Amino acid sequence: MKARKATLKDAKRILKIYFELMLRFEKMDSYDKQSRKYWKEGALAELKKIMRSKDSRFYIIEDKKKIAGFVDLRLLKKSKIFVNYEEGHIESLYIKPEYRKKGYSRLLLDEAEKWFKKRKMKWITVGTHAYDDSANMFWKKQGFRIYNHKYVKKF
Amino acid sequence: MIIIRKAKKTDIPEIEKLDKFGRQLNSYSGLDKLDLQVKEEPGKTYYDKFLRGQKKWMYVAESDAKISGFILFNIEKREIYFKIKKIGYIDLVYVDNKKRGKGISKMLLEKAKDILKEEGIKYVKLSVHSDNFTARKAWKKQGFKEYRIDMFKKLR
Repeated sequence: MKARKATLKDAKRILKIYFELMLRFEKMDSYDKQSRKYWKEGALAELKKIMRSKDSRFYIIEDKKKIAGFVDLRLLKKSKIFVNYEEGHIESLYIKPEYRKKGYSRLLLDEAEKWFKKRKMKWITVGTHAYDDSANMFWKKQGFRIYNHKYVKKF
Repeated sequence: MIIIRKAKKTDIPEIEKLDKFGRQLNSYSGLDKLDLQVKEEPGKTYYDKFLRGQKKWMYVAESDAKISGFILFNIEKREIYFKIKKIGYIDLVYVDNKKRGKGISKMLLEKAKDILKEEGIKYVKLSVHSDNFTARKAWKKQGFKEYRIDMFKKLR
């Protein structure tokens, strides 16, 4: 099994799996059922726009021609007051539940690291949900360290 | 007597001096190391954005005609597909070392809360560095709950 760079032809399938990922979000990041129209109309154009950018890249894993997972990579530019004002950011990495425990995440992460290195990035960042223990364990196992915590309070 | 008031342009030098945050950042992960060579243009500093920006606020705590603390906060619009469409963001709260323990930060936060509530905000969020244990403990005590984690890896 190999991860491959996604092209615009894959956009529709990536969007579908993105939507599936969104539905799993909880609490603060819960999905709005009223946004169905957006997913039907605006979302594909938005995704394609991101995919066309030089500073983003998607890789997918296919299993018997079906998409099993994807990774969404972005080059982020912060304020120049930081020494390291550029970073490679993993916007999302998702493997469908039925394709887990096969090492697919690692394959996608390998591609991510290769691309970020090629683009001269020194740091990779990723944001996770605090409640998602299995994801947090995965990133730690891959050598990631926590540097920031986000807190929320309801008035 | 502590007064909480809206910050003015003339407060910025004093706020800048008070703000040890920048220097603090230097001691955290290399990811946030500040480039001390880069000078922000006067009138275009980080603080100025909060003076003039839309849905951004800067308030100061003043006692004896001196600024003892400040708060920067704003409203963040979220992606269309989230149920919670907008959220208050406490960008930075800082109270002078010598003026701590007087409830100043609480007063500043109350101010932010009043304004955000008036704007129809129900949730407020903030970020804290992992190594800043004091702040993390303080926010938890205030009833804040952790909901997101940011991680990094250095590429070699």
